[in-house]
This record gives sequence, C-alpha cells and structure tokens, in this order.
Amino acid sequence: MSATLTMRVETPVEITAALEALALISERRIKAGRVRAGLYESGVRYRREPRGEEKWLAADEVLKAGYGDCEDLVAWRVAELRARGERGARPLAYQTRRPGVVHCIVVRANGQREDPSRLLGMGGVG
Amino acid sequence: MGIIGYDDIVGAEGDLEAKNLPQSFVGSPPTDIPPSATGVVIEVRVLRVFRPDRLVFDRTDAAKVNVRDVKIGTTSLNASNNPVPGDMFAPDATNAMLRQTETASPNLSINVTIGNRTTVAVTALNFGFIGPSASP
Repeated sequence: MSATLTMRVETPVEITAALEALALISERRIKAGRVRAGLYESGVRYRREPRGEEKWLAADEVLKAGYGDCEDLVAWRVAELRARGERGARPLAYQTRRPGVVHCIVVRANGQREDPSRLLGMGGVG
Repeated sequence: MGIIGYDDIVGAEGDLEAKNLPQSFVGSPPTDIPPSATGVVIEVRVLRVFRPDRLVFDRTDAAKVNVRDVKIGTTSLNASNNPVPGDMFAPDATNAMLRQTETASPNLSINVTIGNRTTVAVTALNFGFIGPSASP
C-alpha cells in the first residue's frame, strides 16, 4: 500500500512537526534494510528543487534520486542517528530573516547543530 | 512559504541563527616546499565529515607560495591548468570562499598542490581549512 500525501504547512513549527513524521518513516525504512549507507557515506548530494516545487522524500527515495534538499537530508540524518541509538537527535526548521524562507537543520542529542545541506553541497557562508 | 537553500538565507543580511552554526577547522601537516617547486601535493586527512568553506595561509607564507589545485576525490577546484597566488588565500583575502567543494571524510582526503614562488625553501608550511563538519 502506498499513498501520496498533500498537506500545506505554514510555519516552522508545523514544518518541524512534518519533518518528525518524515524522519520516522525514514527510520523505519533504514531499519528494514532499504537504506544501508549513512547519509554522508551514501554519495547523495544537496540539490535545490526548482522554485515552486516541494517534494519531501524519505531516505530510500533520496538515495534513489541521488540528491535531496534540506528537509530530505535532515529527515534522513535524524533517522540514521536515531536508528544508531541517538534518540535525542531532532530536526529543526526555522524562519530566516528573509520573509517566507525557512531552512532545516539537525540538532544533535548534545545540542550541537549540524547542517547536512551545507555538508553535502549547499553554498558556503556568504 | 518555500523551503530554500542556504544560498538564499545567508548573505549580507543573512540569518543570525544560520551563521551561528558551528564551523570547524582542519590543519595541514607542516610540509617543506623546496625552492621553485611547482607541484608539491599535500594530503590533508580529516577525522570526520568536513566540507571546506575557506582555505587560509599564514600571511607570510601566502606571499611565497602558489596554489595549483585543491582536490577532494577527483573533483578539482581549479578551472584552469595554471596556479593562483597564495595571496588569494591570505587571512584578509576577500571573495576567498570555496563554494564548489565536495565533502571530505576519513576515506576521502583533501589534496592541495602547492608551488614555491621564491628561490628559497618554505619550511614547515602549514595552512588551514574552515568549514562545517559533523560528528560521527
């Protein structure tokens, strides 16, 4: 059984909540053996989606595509860390100073922040 | 509301929270560069996943060396066959960000090819990279 969900999320809090769901799905697929490599060992790179398009991909779908954008990579990384026992790892979406622009990162169990998008090819600090 | 990449959120008016993301650094093994050498390859190994944003030389060394290439895996950052002056990567250099880098890992080193612009050996050349990293 499969389903394609359409849902409008409007705030960073709602996006973070949706990211939790995507991370949970990714974790289940990792544990089922559908994704064997860690995010950073997988060869996957960051790629921005065309403007106006916003597809959220679980870890196995990112692996198949070979790329993902911030929410896809964050969900995979959180799922991977949790599957390895770091249960306190969590996704975080936040509103940037630019209106309407949100970015997603990982908060590790020790509070350290990690940005998979930057590590996998997103533009450097300006 | 769109979810857009870092390029869009970090600029002159970039986001404070994003800029506060931790940056790590990686150092090169001190290496002697013989007089007038043109291609000494220095392998910089990392202990965890790391993506260099910036290469920085000591101010004095920057004036003595040139950089023929910075490579991670097979991806070269030099779009020509010619070296660039080390001054491009001096501490106060502007527009010195490396934006097209691959991701280094314990299995994938950063290789920097250095030349010596002088007729005197550069002793114990040491340079660094700054960029984001992830703990295992």
